[in-house]
Order: sequence, then structure tokens, then C-alpha cells
Amino acid sequence: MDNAIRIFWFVLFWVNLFSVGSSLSAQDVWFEVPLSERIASYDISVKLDTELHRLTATQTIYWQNTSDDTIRTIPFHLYLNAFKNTGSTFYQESYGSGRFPDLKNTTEADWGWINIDKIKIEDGEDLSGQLRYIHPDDDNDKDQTVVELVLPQPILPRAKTILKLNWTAKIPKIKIRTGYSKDFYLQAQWFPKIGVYEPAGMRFAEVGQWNCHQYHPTTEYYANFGNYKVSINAPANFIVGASGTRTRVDTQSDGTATHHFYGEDIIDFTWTTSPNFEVVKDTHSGVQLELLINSEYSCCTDRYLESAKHAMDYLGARLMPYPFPKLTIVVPPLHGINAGAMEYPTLVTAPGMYGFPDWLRSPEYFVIHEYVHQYFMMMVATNEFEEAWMDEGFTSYWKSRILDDAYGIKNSVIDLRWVRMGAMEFFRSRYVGMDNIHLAESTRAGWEYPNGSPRALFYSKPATWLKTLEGIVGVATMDKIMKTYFDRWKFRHPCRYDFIDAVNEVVAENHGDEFGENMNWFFHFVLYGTGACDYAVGSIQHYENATASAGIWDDSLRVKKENPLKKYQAKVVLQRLEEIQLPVEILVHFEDDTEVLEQWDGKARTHGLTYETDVRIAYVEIDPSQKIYMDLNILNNSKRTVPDTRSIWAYVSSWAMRIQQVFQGVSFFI
Amino acid sequence: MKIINALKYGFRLASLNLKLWSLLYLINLLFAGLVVVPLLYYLGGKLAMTKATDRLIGGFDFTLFNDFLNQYPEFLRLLSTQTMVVGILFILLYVFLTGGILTRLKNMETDLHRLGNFWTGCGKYFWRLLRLSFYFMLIHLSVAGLFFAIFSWSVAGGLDYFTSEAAIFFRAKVCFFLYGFFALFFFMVHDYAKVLVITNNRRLIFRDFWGAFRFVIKNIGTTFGVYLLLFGLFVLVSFFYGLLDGFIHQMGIPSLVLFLTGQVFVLAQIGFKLVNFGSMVKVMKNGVNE
Ligand SMILES: [Zn+2]
Repeated sequence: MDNAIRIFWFVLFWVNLFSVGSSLSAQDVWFEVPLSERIASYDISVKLDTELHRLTATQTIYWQNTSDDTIRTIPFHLYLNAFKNTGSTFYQESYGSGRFPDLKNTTEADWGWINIDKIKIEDGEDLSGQLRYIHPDDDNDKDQTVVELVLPQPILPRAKTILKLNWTAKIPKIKIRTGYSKDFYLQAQWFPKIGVYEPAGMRFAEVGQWNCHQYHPTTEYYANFGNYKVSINAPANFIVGASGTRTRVDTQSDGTATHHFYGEDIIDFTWTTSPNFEVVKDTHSGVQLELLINSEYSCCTDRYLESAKHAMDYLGARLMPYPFPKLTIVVPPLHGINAGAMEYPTLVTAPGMYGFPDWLRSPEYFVIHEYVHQYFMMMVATNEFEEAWMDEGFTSYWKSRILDDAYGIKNSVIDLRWVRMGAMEFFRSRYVGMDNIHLAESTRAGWEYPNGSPRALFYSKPATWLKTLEGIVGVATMDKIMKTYFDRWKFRHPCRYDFIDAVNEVVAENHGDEFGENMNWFFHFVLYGTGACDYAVGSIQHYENATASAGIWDDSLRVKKENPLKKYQAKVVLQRLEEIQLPVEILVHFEDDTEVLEQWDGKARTHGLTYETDVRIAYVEIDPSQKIYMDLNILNNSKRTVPDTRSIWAYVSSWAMRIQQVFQGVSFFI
Repeated sequence: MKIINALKYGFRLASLNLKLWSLLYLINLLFAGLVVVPLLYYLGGKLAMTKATDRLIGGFDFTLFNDFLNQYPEFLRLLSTQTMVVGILFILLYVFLTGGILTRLKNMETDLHRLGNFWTGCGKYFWRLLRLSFYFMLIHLSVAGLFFAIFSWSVAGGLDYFTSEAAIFFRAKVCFFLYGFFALFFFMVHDYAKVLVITNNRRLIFRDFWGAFRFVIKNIGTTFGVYLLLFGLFVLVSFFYGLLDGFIHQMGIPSLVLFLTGQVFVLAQIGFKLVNFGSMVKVMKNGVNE
């Protein structure tokens, strides 16, 4: 090689290096100042074998001990082992779709597992022999969803450690969230993930401890924030989407392509691939939107994107603009429907199908729900194992607000002329319609409800009582509570006390002691209690001449009479039928259309109101503005003094006409 | 030409039978009433004193519906049982009335202004027409079963086998369309068999049953042509009614207008039934004459 060529290569090398370096840094760095502590960061290089449905990977974990404790063991989640056999806690606790209907005919293709082949600290010796499965939640020694590494050298306070792993996994057929269905792959909870070390004082920790629960069908996840660099090797014809942003794609000579992704301040990383995705790109408020959708669902493309944009605007105005540069929306095909709907950092899944009807807003419903999780879980990173209501309840509440705002409070979910349903109404119906509304308090860990599904306690009950809190303190105060809580706890890990503190603080600021010294009484009922809420108008009585005076008044022993001051004494009896005590408004409407709005603290079992009046009461209505949204029966919230069936008549007669037409239509063929 | 003539005749017969028309309309009202009045009575009993029913003013209210069902879980069961019983009674009544309608249409030229032979016809042919309906019901069940089997076979393997969901939907649509076509054919044969039962007045209806098939197939162009044309008209009228109904609803025009247009549509539905039978009588007459 002569000098000129050497110089040429030298220059080319540096130009190349510089250009690659600069393009990487330009694309890779999301935030100049980290948004989180970045305790656990991951570099993963994974290869997908679409024949055997296997993953082979090398993985580096950068873990920072931010505590003053000395760490002697490290636990890892091996979520995929939930699908290894029927002995897993996940399988044991699953019912319905979580189980195989035909266990005998399952094959290797159905099951999934993950195995750490090698694990080293930096470039030390392989420690895989030091790994042992642990079962912090139960005594199930067959469960392999948590593995613990006993460290040869402890990690000192504030020290960093680097772990290097080689692992292999078999992807299960999708039963829930993760797996494959035909050539569609949704890879969630797919890699060994370090637990969360909670030093004394963090959330409920009294002493420093690892928080790393086994995988349960009723729980989701908990993880530290960090940065992720992930490269995914898949067949070149497969389209890949993932958390984070794509930094580059390398085409390989073996017919595969390697897709490189990068993300900062996220708590997890999920990816998907399929040769059948159509990619639709858009931007909104500076955020790239990428929709991965089956080309047969193209009629719904706008529905997915527009609903995401609406949610972005709504939460952007009330909590914070979406901080990440990209949002990926994955629409699993119908055959892989068990993959979604689910939330992951900067990536959401929202199922679809061919010919989805316009009147059923399930694409919007799922996109908005999973998008709200970007705030409540992906940013305010609560522990979904232990306090599922804190992400699902908040998400259900905000999702309903967004949907009702975008499409109407009476028709945001089902929008037919004859049957319609709003999102908030839907959640209330799920709550008040629970098999056993007194099932348990919402504060237990997900697997601690052996005698009934806790779903409503995580989703619809908290959504309904958050709406009730909004009714009591007003929307402005509610929004301020949420903003205070969010600002304080974004990119951190709060627990219920932190939300209650925010409520107490903001309510005191805005309302003084209007609702008492603090709002703890409210949480005593709705969060820690198992009671329900039902107020009713018991009776309305009118006593004529009741205010007249008559009888013997003095020594004369003569009967004296006086005309009545007013024609009637009207007496209203209100009742509290259930345990929960909330302040309520009572509207008393008289026959001359005058009205009185009364306040009742709602504490006693009964409450009486008396009026001296010349006109009779027409009706009494408790909570006329439906502020106490969790009241479980609106029928008994009001009472008339004279029966009125006009609105029933008007409504039923419209149905009568349809019945006539159906009868006559049928008669054509008889 | 035959088709148009038959339809013209059908329309003429229908227009001459205002009494019959009114009678059928009243029966329709009565049966709608049989569903609605107990419903109103029930709902009135439960809901007359609550103000929550005001929520119905804008139309269906999910929260009210939900809380009502939570409080009175038996409601849907009661409603469906009642609708089913009234529906079956309605069907039986229509089988009964068919004898009368056809007797009257058959004797139109001689006996225009009396409904007397109408009631005689109703009673005289009831059991025979009921048996006929039973046989045709069996045929319809078989046709539906057959097309369901064809559909199931055509999408065997479901989503495990098909990459395209649209392909499954397409097969469903094709099967449904073909089923509809065959179902219409058998409905038509059923109608011709009714006309034959009344024309021939025989105790045993099997000969009329087969006779209807033979006649329809022999004159398939005219018979099916008339029927399809009439059915198409019926669909068209229903479609325009649907548009009008939606428009009135959307514009917030008082519900009385909605009710009245609804009644006009019911009258039109009755008219189609009469035109159908009238045109069949004509086709049969021509057919027999040929
Ligand atoms: Zn959720």
C-alpha cells in the first residue's frame, strides 16, 4: 500500500468514524439532562430464529447502587419461565385464557422459557453456577420466574456494577401479552431483568431490600429507569418496531437485518416484528408517531393516530407534554390478539380486526388507555405488583376523561342511535355491577385476592372514586392534585401515601378545612375500606295544618285556635344505605318551581329536612349533578311526590314503533 | 311484460282492499300493544316515582339502564319471554289470516265489498297452512344449516390457516348472500303453495306442496322475477325510510313526526304483503290458463 492510499484510508477511516459517531450522538441522546436516576441500563444484542421461535442474546446490565447499603445478592426476573410448565405460579393462578384448553395436545411450540447460560461481573468468571431460583411470594419451588445471583464480591454503597449475560429463550405461543402467533412476534418481558433495590424509607421499605416478585397472572411489572441500547437481528423481510428510536439498520449477508434501537429514561423495552406490518408515519407536537398495522386494517389507521393525538394534547395541557421523541402504536393481528392491549415504554399495543365498525370505539379506547400509561407507570413508575390500582385506576380515570371529551360523555365507547355508552359510565357500571362489591380493599398485592377477580378493584373502582373525588373537590382542584402528584413523582417510584399527600396538600390549599382536617377519611372509605356508597330519598310527607296551633293554652281552659302559618309542613327523610360516608347535595324542588339546594355531610344513617310551605314538594333529588359518581344506584337518589311516566312513555313508544316494523317485516315471509 | 302485468294486478288488488289493509294494520297495532303495554305497566310501576327517568329525554341512557338492570335483574328475562310469546302468537295469527287474505284475493272480481268470506277462509285453511308452514320451516332450517356448513368448510382452520381476515369475511358474505337468495326462493315457493292450497282446496297438501315447486320452476322467469322485483322494491322503500328516519332523528324534529312516518312505513309493509299475494294469484291464473 503506498502512502497516498494509506493517507486516503486514514482520512476515510476518521471521516467515517466521525460521521458514525456524530450521527449516533445526534440521534442517541434524547435528553441533555437525565430525567431519572438511570439505575439499571441495558445493552442487548438479540437474534430471532423464526424457525425455532428462539432468541439468543448477549446482554450487559449497568447497575448503580444508589443506596448506602452493601448488596450481596441480585435477583432477576425471568418472566418467560411463567410459560415453561404448569408448575409455574403464573399457570397455577391462571384461569380461562391463561391456561391451555387442551393440555395433552400441547407441543414444544406452545411453551416458553428463558435460561441464563452465562453470567459474569465485568469480565470475571462465569457465575451461572451461583444462580438459584427463589420464590419471594409463595412456596412454589417449581416457579422459575425469579432467579438470584449470590455475588462473589458484594457491591459497595454507591458503587456501580456491570453484569454480562448470555442467554437463550424459547418464545411461547401468545397466551398473554408476549410470544408469537404465526409470523407475528410481540416480545415483552423477554430478557433477564434486574429487580428494584428499595433502600429503607423508599415506598414501604423499612430496611433496604430487593423488590422482585414472581410473575402472577393478575400483576404487571416494576422496574428502575435506565437507558436501553438494543439491537435486534431478524429476517430481512420482517418489519421491526420497538420501544425507543431506531438509530440504524444493518443488512446482513445471511438474509437478515439488524435493527438498532435506543431509549433513555425508560423502565422497559419491548419489540415486535412481522412481515405483514404496514408502517404509517406521522408527527404530532414534535413527536414521531409510527403505526405498525396489518394492511387489511387500513380503514382504522386514522382512528389509531387521531385518538393518540387527542390524548397527547389532553395530557400535554394538564400534566406535561409527552417528553419522548417517539410513540409506536402496534396493532396486533386478530390471530395474535392476546398480545394486546398493553403498555410499554414509548410503545403501545391496541388490537384491531378487519372491518372494525365505526360505532364501537375500541381502537380509540385502547390507544388512549395505553397512552395514558405512558404517564402513569412509564413516568410515574409505581409498583404494579403491589399497587395495581395506582396505574390502572389512574389510567382508567384519565382515559375516560379523554374519551368522553373527544367523543361525548354518553357515546364515547358505543355510539349507536339505540344503544350508546360513555367511557366513564362504562367504568362505573363495571364497579357497581361487581359480583361482590365488598370483595376486598384495593391495597393488596395482585395475587392476594384468592376468592374473586380483583380486576374491578384495580380499574373501575378507583376510576369511579377518582371521578367522585373530582366531584367533591371540583375539576380545577383535581387537575392540580394530579399535576402536583405527577410533577413530584415523574421518573420516580411513588406509593399510595405519596398520592394521598398530594391530595391533602392541594385540597388544603384550595379549600382550607372545608372537607375536614385532611382527606384521609376519603381514602379510609374508598381505598382501605370495602364498603359501598348508596344514598336514597326515603320518604317525602306533607302534613296539612301542621303548623297551626290549637288546644288549651291557659287557665281559662278554653280551646284557642290559630290559623296555620303555612299550609303544609313537609318532611323529607334521606337515607345512607351503605357504609361509605360522603358529603352530598340535596335538591328540593317545589311545585311552584322554586328550589332549595341543601348540603348534608352524609354521615348519619338518616337525615331529615323539614319545610314550612304553602306549596307541596314536587321532588327531592340527592346529588343532582352526579358528583358522587360512585353512588351505586341512581334510581333511589330521587323521589317524586306524584308519579310521572311521561319520559318512559315517550321512550317506550319509540321502541313500540320498531316492534311494529319488525312484526310486519316478519309477516312478509309468513 | 308478464312480470309487470302481474305486479300491476297485485297493486290493483291491494289498492282495492282498503278494509283488509286497515284490518291488518289494526292487528299490527294490537300486537305491538301486547308487547308495549305490559312493558309500560312494569316500568311505570318501578320507575314512576324516580326522577332518574328524565335521563331518557335525550334517548337511551346507559347509566339508567345499567342501574335498572342491577335492581331488577329479572327484567330482560321477562321482556324476552313476553316478546317471544307475542311473536309466536303473531306468527300463528298471520298463518290464520293468510287463508282469509288469499280467499279474498282469489274471489276479488265477484265479491269486493264483504269481508265475510275473509273470515271463513281464515278458519277453513288454518290447519293446512300451518302444516305447510311447518314443512317450509324444516326446509329453511336445512338451507341455513347447509350454508353454515359450506361456510365452516370454506374457512376450515380459521385464523390458523388464513393469513387474510378479509378472505374469511368475503366467504362469510358470499355464503350469506347465497343463503339469502335460496331462502328467498323457498319463501316464494311457500307463498305459491299457499295460493295452491286455497285454489285447489284439497285436504292433503302434499300435492300442492310439490305443485308449487313444479309451477315455480316451470315459470321460473316470471315467478322469481315478480318476487325479486317486489322484494327489491321493498328493500328500496325500507332504505329510503331508514334515511328519512335518521334525518328526522338528527334534525331533532318532534318524535310525533317520527311516529307518523313510522306508521306510514308499516302501512307500506302491509301493502307489499298484499301486492305480493295479488301478483301471485295473477301469475297462477295465467299459468293455469296457459
Ligand atoms: Zn392498563
